[in-house]
Amino acid sequence: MPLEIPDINWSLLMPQLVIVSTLLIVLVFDMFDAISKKTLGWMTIVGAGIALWSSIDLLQAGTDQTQFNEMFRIDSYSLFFNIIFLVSTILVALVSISYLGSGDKKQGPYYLLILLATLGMMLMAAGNELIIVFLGLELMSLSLYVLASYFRESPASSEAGMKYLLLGAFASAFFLYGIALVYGAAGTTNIPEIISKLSVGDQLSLLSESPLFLAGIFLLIVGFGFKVAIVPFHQWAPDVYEGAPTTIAAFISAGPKAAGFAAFLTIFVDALPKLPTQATGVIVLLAMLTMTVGNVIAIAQTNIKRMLAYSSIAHAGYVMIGLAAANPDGKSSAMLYLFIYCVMNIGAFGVVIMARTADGENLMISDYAGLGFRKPLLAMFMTLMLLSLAGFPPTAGFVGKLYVFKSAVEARHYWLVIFGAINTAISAFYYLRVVVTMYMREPEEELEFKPYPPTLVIGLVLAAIGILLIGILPSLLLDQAQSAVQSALL
Amino acid sequence: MEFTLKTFIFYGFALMTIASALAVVTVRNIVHAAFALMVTLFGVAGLYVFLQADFLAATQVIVYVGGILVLILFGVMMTSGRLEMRIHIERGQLLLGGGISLALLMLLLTVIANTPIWKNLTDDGTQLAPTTERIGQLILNEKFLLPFEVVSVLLLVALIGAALISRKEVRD
Repeated sequence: MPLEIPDINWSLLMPQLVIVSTLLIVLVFDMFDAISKKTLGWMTIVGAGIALWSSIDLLQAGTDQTQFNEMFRIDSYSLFFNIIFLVSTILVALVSISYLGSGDKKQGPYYLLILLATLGMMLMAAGNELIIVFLGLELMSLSLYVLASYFRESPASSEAGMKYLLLGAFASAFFLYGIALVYGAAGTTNIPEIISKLSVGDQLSLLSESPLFLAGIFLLIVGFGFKVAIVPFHQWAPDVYEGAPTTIAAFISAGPKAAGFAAFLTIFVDALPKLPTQATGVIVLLAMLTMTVGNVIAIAQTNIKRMLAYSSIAHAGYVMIGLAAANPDGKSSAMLYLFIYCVMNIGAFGVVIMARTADGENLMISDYAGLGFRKPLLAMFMTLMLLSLAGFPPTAGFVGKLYVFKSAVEARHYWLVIFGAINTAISAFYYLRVVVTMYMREPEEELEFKPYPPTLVIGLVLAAIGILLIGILPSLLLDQAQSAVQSALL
Repeated sequence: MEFTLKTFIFYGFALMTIASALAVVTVRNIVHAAFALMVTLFGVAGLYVFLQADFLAATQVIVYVGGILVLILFGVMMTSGRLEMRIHIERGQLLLGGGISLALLMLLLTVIANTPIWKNLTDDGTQLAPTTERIGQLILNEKFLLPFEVVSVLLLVALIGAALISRKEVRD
C-alpha cells in the first residue's frame, strides 16, 4: 500500500511551528560558549513574540478548523489559551534574564526547557483528542521536573524536582488509566465524539451512567487535580514552589495551571451537564475545599514563596467555580480569570526576585518591613500585584472574580458563590498583611538590595499595565473569551 | 465454559502475572522484587497475545523486559552500592497503601461486574493476524501522525533533562 502524504495546512500551525523552530535554534546556539544565556533569553522572547503575533492574527481571522484528522483544534478557544501561555512565557523570560546569575546557574538549557514546556501547553489547549492532551501534558511536565531541580547546588531545588517528578508521575499514571477506561467505555478518544455519545437526542445515553465510563472520568479528575494543584491533590505545590528557582516557581504557577485547566474545561464544561449530578457535586466540593484550604493555610505562612503557593492553590479553586457552573459564561469567565491570574502571579513572583540582596533572596515576609518608603518602586509593584490577587477594584483580579461569581449565580450554585466571597475576605487578610508590613513596620535590620535589573523592571511594568488595563477595560479580553465560547457552540 | 488448551494457557499467564506482581510488592530484597517484576511484565506480554496484539506483545518484551528492567537493576546497583538492600515498610504505610489498593480493587471489580459488554464476550474464533503493518500505516498516515511527531519532541526533553541532571557540576 502506498503511503499517502497527509494534507496539512501549515499556516494554521504557525504558532506551534514558530515555537519548535525557536527551540531548535536555541538548542543549537546553546552549544557555543561565546553566546551568553542573555542572548538565548532574548531569542526566546522574540520567538514567543512572533508566535503570539501569529496567534492573535489567527484569532482575529476567526479561524475554526481541525487538523491531523480532527486531532488538533485551531479555534478561538485554543488560540486564546495560546495567548495566555505565550504572554506568560515572555514575562517569565524577561524576569529570568537577570536572575540566572553566575557560576553553575549559567549552564544548561534553561530557555530550551521553557520553550518545550510552552509547546506542551499549546498542545494541551489545542488537543481535540485525549492522546494529544496526554502527550502535551507529559511534554510540559517533563520539562518542568527538570526546571524545578535546575539549581543543582541547592538541595531544596533538587528536592523540589524529585518530589514533583514522583507525584507528577503518579498523576500521569492516573490520567492515562482514566483515558484507557474512557476509551474502553466510549470506544473513542476524540473528545467531541465522547461528549456526543453521552446523549441520544435529548435523552442521556447508557454511556453516561456506565460505571466503566464514570470510573474513567473519576481518574481523569484525579489526574487533572494533581496537575492544577486542587485540594486534596495539592501537597506538592508549596514544596516545589519554595525549592524551585523563583522564576520557575512563577512559571509553574502560571502557564501549566492554565494549560491543565484548558484541557479540564474542554472536557468537563460540555460533559458535566450530561453526567449524573454527583459529578457536578464532586467538582463543587473540590472547588470549595480548594479555596478554603488554600486560603486558610496561606494565613499561617511566613515564607512569601510558600504564601504565594497556597494563594495559587486558592486561585485554582476560583477557576473551579467557573468549571462547576458548566455554562458558556462559566467557561469564558474561567478563561478570563486564568489570563489575569497568570499575569498577576508572575508579577508577584517577579517582585520577590526584585527584593534580592547580595546574600541571596529575602523570602521571609518580615524582610519586607519598611520597604514602602525606602524602596517605593518595589513596594508599589508588590502592592498592586497583591491587591489584584486579593481582588480589589480597579485591578484585573476584581474583574476576574466578578465574572466567575456571576457565572455561578447563573448556574444557581449559590453556596459556591457564598464560599467564594468568604474566601476572598480571608485572602484579603494575608495579602494586605504584606502591604501593611511594607508600609507600617520598621525593619529589624538594614538590607542592602541589589540594583534592579532593567529587564525585570520591564517585565513588571508590562504586568502592571496589563493588570490595570484589564481592570479598567475588561471587555478587551472578555469579548474575545466570550466569542471563543460562542463560536464553539455554533 | 469450555475448557480448552487456550483457556488453560490464559489462566496460566494470568496467574503468573498476579502472583509475581504480589511478589514485587511483598518481597524484602529489592533485587528479588526486580526479577519478580520481569515475570509480571512477561505475563502481561502473554496477555497481549491473547488480545491479538502481537506487535504490542513483542514491544513489551523488548522494551520492558529487555530494556527497562535492566535499567532498574543498574539503578539498584548504582544507588545502593550493594545488591542486598532491604526494603523497610512501616506498619502505617502498609495499612494506608493496602487500604487504598483494596478500595481501588473494589471499584474496578464493581465496574467489571456492572459493565454489560464484558459479560457476553465470546471467543469468535478469529485468527491471530499480524498488526505491525496496520500500526505502521496508522502512525505515518494522517491518523496518528501528530502523536508520533510529539513523541519525538518528548524524547528530546527526556534526553536533555537526563543529561542536565546527571552531568557533572561545571564551575568557572
